Amino acid sequence: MPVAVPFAVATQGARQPWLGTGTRVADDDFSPASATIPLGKALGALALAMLVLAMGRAPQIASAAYDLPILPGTEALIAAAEAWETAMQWMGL
Amino acid sequence: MLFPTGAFALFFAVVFVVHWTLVRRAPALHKAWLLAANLAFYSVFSTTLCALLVALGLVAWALGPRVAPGAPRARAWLWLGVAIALAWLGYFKYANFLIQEVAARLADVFGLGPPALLEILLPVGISFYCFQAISYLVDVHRGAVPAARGPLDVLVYLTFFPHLSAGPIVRAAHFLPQLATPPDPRRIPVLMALILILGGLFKKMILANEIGVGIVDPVFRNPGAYGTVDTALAIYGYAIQIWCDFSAYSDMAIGIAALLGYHFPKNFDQPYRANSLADFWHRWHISLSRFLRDYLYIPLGGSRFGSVATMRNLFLTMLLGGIWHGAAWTFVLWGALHGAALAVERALGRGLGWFLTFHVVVALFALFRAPDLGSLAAMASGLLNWSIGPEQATPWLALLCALGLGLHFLPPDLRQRVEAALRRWPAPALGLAAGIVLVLILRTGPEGVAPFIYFQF
Repeated sequence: MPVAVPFAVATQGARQPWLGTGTRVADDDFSPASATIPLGKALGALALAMLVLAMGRAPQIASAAYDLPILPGTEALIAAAEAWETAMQWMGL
Repeated sequence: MLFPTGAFALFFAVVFVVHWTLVRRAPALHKAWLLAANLAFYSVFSTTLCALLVALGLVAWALGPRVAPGAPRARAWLWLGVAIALAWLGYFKYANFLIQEVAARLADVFGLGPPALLEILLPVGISFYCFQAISYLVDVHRGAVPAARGPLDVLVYLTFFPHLSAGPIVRAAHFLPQLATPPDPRRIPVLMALILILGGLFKKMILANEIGVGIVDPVFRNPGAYGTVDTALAIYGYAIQIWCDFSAYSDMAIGIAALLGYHFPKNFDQPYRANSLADFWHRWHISLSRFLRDYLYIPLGGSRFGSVATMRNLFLTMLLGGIWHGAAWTFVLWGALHGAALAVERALGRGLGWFLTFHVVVALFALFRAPDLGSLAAMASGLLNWSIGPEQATPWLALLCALGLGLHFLPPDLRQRVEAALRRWPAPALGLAAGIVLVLILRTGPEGVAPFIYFQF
């Protein structure tokens, strides 16, 4: 015989709280009231965050490119990373 | 692959774009893509260990229909499945410990040479994925989730890269229903996900890394060489470091999963503001505490058979929780002492109060961090040695420790308040702000990223 399910109430039908379809889990950071945005806007926001990250970490990107294994295309990647770093230096970043 | 690295950022960008593209245009393929991404993520650690992880997933999937309610000999199959998962964990994690502690002593008694240790590479995250395999079997057996028809869902659940390396331990009954339909691309909780990821990065890159490198590592590496101030700051510092490190990983994992449209439950809830040890365990590594409560403490009898049995069950549960962390006497003792302290609280009928609870937790974390009991004794003598002045401790490190503790006394719903304040911001402004904060955190923290503490478990 299966034993009792003490946590079933908390998990049955539980899905993503921000969709508002699951059981409300107390003290969770997400809830049916969580702010959500559609994929297009999410992509734009994350792409912008990645762009700022790449701008702020240009020296680290160049240094990571130098550490790449020698394969076809590596030289082009290193050249692109160097050009990116130079452009960021020119912008004063 | 560590979260706060450029390699992971690139990996995640590709996974994110392809995942949501498939969800919109070819939903039948999105889970296969997630599995491929998970396996690629884990293969960075080792392809052999990745194959073993898949093998365990296939075993759990194959046993699913046999342990389901109403299946013949379901309970026996369940025990077999749990035994396989525990044997898996035991071999990789405890075999050499047993050889060292048991076989070596027997060899001494019988005058034999020391036994050879096995060459075993500990798979990253093994304790987490083995517990999740157990969760799948038990949840199916209890009827909380149906047995999966194909292996894909079980494999995605076990290998899902945000929680694969260091949790949180997400239950099958919580996660598998989320795989039943593709996530909704019209409603992605980007704001809270970014708050969790950036908050986690701050705790990991600035607090945990600075405190670890600055005071904890040097003092615990050479515990007899430091005096009172250094030793005391290292002990308090480790309690702050392990919270910053582990809760940072959990927060980032929860945020990353949310960006892909999946929900993990909260794993930490300001644990150092607890007023009792029972309260502490409701706030610290919540997914493990609840796993142990529901899959061990309650099946042992919980609090249903009187106070003595309750105290025994608390002690055994915490002892096994300690052993789960690793094959060392320090972990065994750490779990046993937490179990004993919980039993004492139960006998007293009240909590220890904030001050005592905090210091019991801090002192036991020193035991948790110490490589052996000898080092702990050396630290205790260093703690009483006023003749050596501070060498590692600085006001900056003390300030970081105070900040780490102070974060516990901010409003519990601070994230929701930040979310409410920012929810009207347009998406590009959010992305720009997130990028700037990300760069500031990475520039402020020390160069390089130390592995997360819980990777070793």
